[in-house]
Order: sequence, then C-alpha cells, then structure tokens
Amino acid sequence: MIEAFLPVVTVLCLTTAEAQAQPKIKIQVQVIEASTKSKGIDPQLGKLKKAFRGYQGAKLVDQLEAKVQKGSSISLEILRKSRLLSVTFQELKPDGSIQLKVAIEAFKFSAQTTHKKKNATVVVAHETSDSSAIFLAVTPRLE
Amino acid sequence: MTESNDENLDEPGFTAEAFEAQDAEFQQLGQCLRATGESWENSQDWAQFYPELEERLVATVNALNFDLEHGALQQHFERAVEDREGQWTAFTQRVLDEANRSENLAARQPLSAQAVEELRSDIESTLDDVEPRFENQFFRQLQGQLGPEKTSLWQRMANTISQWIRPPSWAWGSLAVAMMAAFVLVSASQREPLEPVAVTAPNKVQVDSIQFEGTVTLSQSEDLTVIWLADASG
Repeated sequence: MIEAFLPVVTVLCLTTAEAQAQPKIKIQVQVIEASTKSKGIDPQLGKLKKAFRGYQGAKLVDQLEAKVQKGSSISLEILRKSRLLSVTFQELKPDGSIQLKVAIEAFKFSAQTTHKKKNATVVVAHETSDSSAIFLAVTPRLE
Repeated sequence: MTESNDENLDEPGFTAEAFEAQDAEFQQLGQCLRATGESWENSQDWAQFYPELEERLVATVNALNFDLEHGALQQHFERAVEDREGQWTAFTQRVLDEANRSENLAARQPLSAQAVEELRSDIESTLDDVEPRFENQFFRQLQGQLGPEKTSLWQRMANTISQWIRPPSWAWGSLAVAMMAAFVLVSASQREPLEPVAVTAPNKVQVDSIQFEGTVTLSQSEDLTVIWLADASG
C-alpha cells in the first residue's frame, strides 16, 4: 500500500523541494477610486496618501493578495468593463529585489519594475473623469 | 474878522473861520451895494452912478481891510512853487508820458483785452525759449533719415541678395516647432519601450521599462512611485 503511494510521495517531496527552490512572494493588489467630490481617505490607504494629490477622497474598492512563484501571475478585473490587471513575478534578485511586470492588456500598457525594499509599492493611475481617477497599487513581499 | 497874519498863508488853504468872517464882510458889502443901487435907481442922475459906485466900493473895501490882497496871494503862490521845486515840471512829465505811452494805453483798455495781451506775451516768450529745441530735434531726425553714408552699388546688390537667401524669422519658429513635434512623436512611440529610469536616489521602486499607447507621467519619491496613464485606448 505504501509502495503505491511512495512514488506519489516522492513526487510530492520532489515537487515540494522544487517548490522550495522556487521562491515565492506575496503580491498585494489594491484597486482604489479617488474623487474630488468625496471627502476622506480610507485608513487602509494611509501609506498611499501622497499618490492622491488633488483628490479629496479615496476609497478601497477591491483588494487581492496572493502568493505567486517566479513566472506566475495574478489577475484582477478593474473598471467594471472586463479589463484585467495582471501582475507577473519575474525574478527575485540576489539582493532581495523583486522584479515584477504589471500590465493592462486593454490599455496596451505594461511596465517592468524592480522593488528594492520591503513594502515597495508601484501605483498605476488613470483618470476616469474630470473629478475621479482609479489607482492600482501593487506591493510585493518576500515570504 | 480874522486877523491877517502869515500863519494863514503857511497853511494849505484858508481856515474855515477866515472864510466865514470874509463871507460876513461880503454880505455887508453886498447889502451896501444894493442900497446904493436902489438909491440911485430913485435918483435921476445916472451919469454919476458908476464912478460914484466905484468910489463907494473902494472906500468900503478899504474900510473892511480885506485880506485877499494881491501881495498875499502872490506870496502864497511863490511859496508853493518853492515847496514843489524839483518835484514836477511839465517837461519831465511829458517825457515820462512818452516813455509809458504803451503802458498807459494798455491801462486804458478793458480788463479782458488786458488779459489777452498778457497771455499772448507769455505764449510768445515760451515759444521763443522752446523753439531752438524743436529745431535741433527736427534736424537730428532729418539727419538720421538721410543715413550715415552712401553705399556702393556692389554692396547694395550684395545686401539685397543676402536678404533673399536669408529665411524669414517665422521659418526658424516653424523649424523649432517641427523639431519639438518630432521629439514628442518619437518619445510616444508604442513599439519602443522607454529606457530604464535611472534611479539615483534611494527609491524603493525602480521602473525598468514602460510600454504604452499614450502619454505616461512618472512621479517618484523615496517611498512611492506613481505611473500616470493618459489618452489610453479602450
């Protein structure tokens, strides 16, 4: 009986080993809507206050956190029009810097960023109207 | 009857008392003459009227001791002339009148005419003072328009040709605008990604490359990096 599971266990062990060899990081994606008409900034967005200059109010619309391996990506729908924000974990450098690729296919936008320090956030912003804008905050963390 | 004395002569005129006294004497004389005339009217001897009247008048005047003697008046006149010695003469007055003739004539004009004349004289004097300055400026401008020197025919031809060759000022501006537009188009190209942003400050995030069909604005601080997307399609 055990013999049947042995290869499975081996595979699992090997997979686990390979998985342990593959670094994993946690990626946090926050979708924020800012407006000049509303007032007050969500307490969870305190660290990103500087990004909302010109806007009196900002609220957290959606948030996603996931662990990803190198080469893997996570996607999040934004702007209620089936537009996807995808974040790909490209590389973990020896100095601990995390290289990501942030893309929005509908906008034909992509950016490659290197996050050097802990909790280093990159924000992609886009004006949705004269009085509002959407902010996509991507923060990688080492596990 | 007042006393005839030199004090009266020294005064500018006879005193009122003296006149009143003489007036009474004249009244007496008049009454006497009237009575004489009436008596003679009644008499028939008219031929003897005037000589007898004259004798009566002289006797009456002598009896009255009349003050207005010719000698006293003469003395009075001479003394007045001595007082005014050197002050006025007819010749001097005539000379002064001739010299001040224009002023005297102007003084006799009405007030409005005097004001007009005074204003005219002020204007004329001001124009006289300013006229040289205007003339100098006029000649200076005229000299400037005439030009410094005459240029030769060859030099003039060369200047004309150089003006044709030299492009107008608006051409330089158009060239600058075209260069700027080309720079913007190249920088917004969708095929070529942006060069990595050189982060010299200790920023937490380094933007290695960006691809976008529109305008990208990058805002970086030590702990936050914001990528603004504008004119995005879709």
